[in-house]
Amino acid sequence: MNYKEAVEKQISGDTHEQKQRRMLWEDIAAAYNKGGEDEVKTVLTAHVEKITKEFKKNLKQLDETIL
Amino acid sequence: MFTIKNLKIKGFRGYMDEKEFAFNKPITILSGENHCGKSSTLNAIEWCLFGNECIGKNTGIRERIDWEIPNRNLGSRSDVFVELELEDENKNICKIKRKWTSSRKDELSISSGHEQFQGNEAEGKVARLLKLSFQDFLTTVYQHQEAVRAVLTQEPRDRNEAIDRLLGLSAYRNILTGIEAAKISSKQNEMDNTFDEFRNKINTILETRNKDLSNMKIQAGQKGLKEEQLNEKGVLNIANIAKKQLEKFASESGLGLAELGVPNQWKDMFLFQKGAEDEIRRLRSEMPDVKKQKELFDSRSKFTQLKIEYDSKKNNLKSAEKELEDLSMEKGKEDDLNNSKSQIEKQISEKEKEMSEANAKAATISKALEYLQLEGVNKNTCPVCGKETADLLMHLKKEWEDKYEKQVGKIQDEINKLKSDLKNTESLLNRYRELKEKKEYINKALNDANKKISELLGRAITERDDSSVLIIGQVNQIDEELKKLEQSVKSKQEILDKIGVLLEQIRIVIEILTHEEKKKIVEQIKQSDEYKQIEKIKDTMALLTNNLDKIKDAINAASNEEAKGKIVSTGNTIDNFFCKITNNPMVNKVNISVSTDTRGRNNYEFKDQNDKEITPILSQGDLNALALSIFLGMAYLMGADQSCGFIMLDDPSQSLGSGHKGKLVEVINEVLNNRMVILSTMDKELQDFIISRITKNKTQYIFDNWTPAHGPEIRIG
Repeated sequence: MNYKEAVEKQISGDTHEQKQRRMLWEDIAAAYNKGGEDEVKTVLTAHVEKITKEFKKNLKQLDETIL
Repeated sequence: MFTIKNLKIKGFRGYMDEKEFAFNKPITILSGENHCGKSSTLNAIEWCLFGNECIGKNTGIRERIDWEIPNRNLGSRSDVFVELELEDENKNICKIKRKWTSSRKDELSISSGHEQFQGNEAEGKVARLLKLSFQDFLTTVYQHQEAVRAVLTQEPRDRNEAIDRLLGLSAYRNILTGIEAAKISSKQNEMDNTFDEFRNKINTILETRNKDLSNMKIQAGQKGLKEEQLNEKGVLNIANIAKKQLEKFASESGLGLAELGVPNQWKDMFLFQKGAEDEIRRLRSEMPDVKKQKELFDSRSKFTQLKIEYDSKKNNLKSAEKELEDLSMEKGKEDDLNNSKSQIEKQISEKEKEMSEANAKAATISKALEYLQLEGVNKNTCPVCGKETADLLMHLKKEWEDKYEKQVGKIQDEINKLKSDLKNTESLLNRYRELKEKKEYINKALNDANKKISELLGRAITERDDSSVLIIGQVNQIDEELKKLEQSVKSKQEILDKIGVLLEQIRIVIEILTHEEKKKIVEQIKQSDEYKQIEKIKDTMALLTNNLDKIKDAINAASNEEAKGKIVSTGNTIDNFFCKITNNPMVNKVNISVSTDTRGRNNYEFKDQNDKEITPILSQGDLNALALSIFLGMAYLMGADQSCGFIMLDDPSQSLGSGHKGKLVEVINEVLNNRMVILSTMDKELQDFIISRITKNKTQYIFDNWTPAHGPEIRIG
């Protein structure tokens, strides 16, 4: 069993949350396979940037509404 | 299980010319000094099997970062390849050839029997043949110097990492490092803090709005507004009242009024309020009384200005007349001065005649004197009559000096005096003329001013009238009219002022309602789509952080489980090998246990027979032996179940003393029961031990005379 399967085994389960977690792990493992730890960082950072951008966009709209 | 039968290398790292190795004995020793190509030979096998996987940071080996495959001395030639011949237990031969094409690409081909594969298909075939990952290869097949050296590090954290690598667990650690480098938790905290700041801002705005509203309501009360008027209905009522009052005022003043529609909603009230304010301004300026007032002010201003001009001119005239009178009194009247001038002119004429006569005689005498003074002329003979007179020249000279010079000088003085008198008289006459002209000019200007006054008053002005007084009378009359108008205008302005107060009340109510609406928006912000969206985003972020935490836990758990499994299955062998190599009297038994540190990472403990930590008492050689024992134990036991029938040891005797080396060779002899060994070393002592103590057949390749043009010279020892 390679590292990917070993981690998958640890996060097994059928709940929506567990499935999401496994998908995230798939992404991380694929990133590592592609470019090592730097790529893991890049992929996760990009993922968070997307969330943060959406957060900032909505916050800006709210900010404009209250002033 | 397969073993290596043959190896061909060309242009790979330390190699230039093509070289071939046969691996037909249980152990193959690659010996020679440093930088002769021994390690390149082991690397070539690794690269042929795993390609670019064995290059870079992911290998966990620092020297593999920026690894160069082709020999630098190849120049533009790119004939770089490694070819391996493998043999399985059924004697089937499989040839694997990897050819370098560029820093990122290489071509793999594999042939087995009649089958041939290229590229990805070949990679897949090799992976199925090897049945082990590159990390497993590093753990159980290829003992790398760096992996061993790292175990010698005394820092527990670094040593644990090195043992993880030795056990093939680098991927877990590397992924954890990558996840932590993304700093997701700190970004989540940042997001939470930003959102908290926003919520605080909302509260502050609400506080400010409440305060402002409270102040506005106080102001509204001061402007006569009641609480029940501070709403839409209230403001609409005020607007209707204001409109009616404006209409009444305009009608009474005989003025038109712009269309002022009172809106149905307070939000549109602003336009009405602005329009009504404009109308009030217009009515103020266009009221008939105000217009009349303005005309009177203008007229008053013109009369006042004219009076100033008239008075000034009249004063100037008086001053000019006085000057003329003063001149007459002092110097005589103009006719007297003219007579005086004529007399002086006459006297001058007479004196000039006298002067002319005196001058004629004097000229004759002067000429005679000139003649007599010439050389050769008889000084006693009169040049006119020829009469002889003694000392005529002297006589004439004396007469000239005594009579004519004095006579002419006296007449000239008299003429000069008369001329001076004439000049003075003429100057006085000029002054007379100037004053007369000035008087006439002022008189004319005064007449012009009188004409203007006459026009403004609308009546004729005779010489008997005092214009200045007439103007004063007119101004007084205007002032009286203005006084009467002032009262009327004031009462009308007061009506407009009252309407203005209503409009101000409208403005205040609009402001209050606007503020209340803004306050409502802020109060209801939590029900907005954006707010709900942000909460969802925050949940997503929290879920991501949570999932990553769980994944990190899972990685640690998987790594720990794998480490434990490997240690459990190889523990006794590692113990056996370590005790054999070190023969340390203090350590009869090595028990390896795996736990987790505070970060959840693997923590390895090596304890002796008395359950005491052994690493603090181990020498560098012992630690090296421990690392080798872990590798050889893994290779011996776990490798037995794997497809690779060989192991590769790169300079294994570093930091080992003679005793350690001899025992290491005995352990290798034991491993040879299960695996073929390829060993690279520059250590002569180790070579001697291998020759003398390894009971299996061996091949020795001796590397020396490495040159940039040809690479290493290799001979069989």
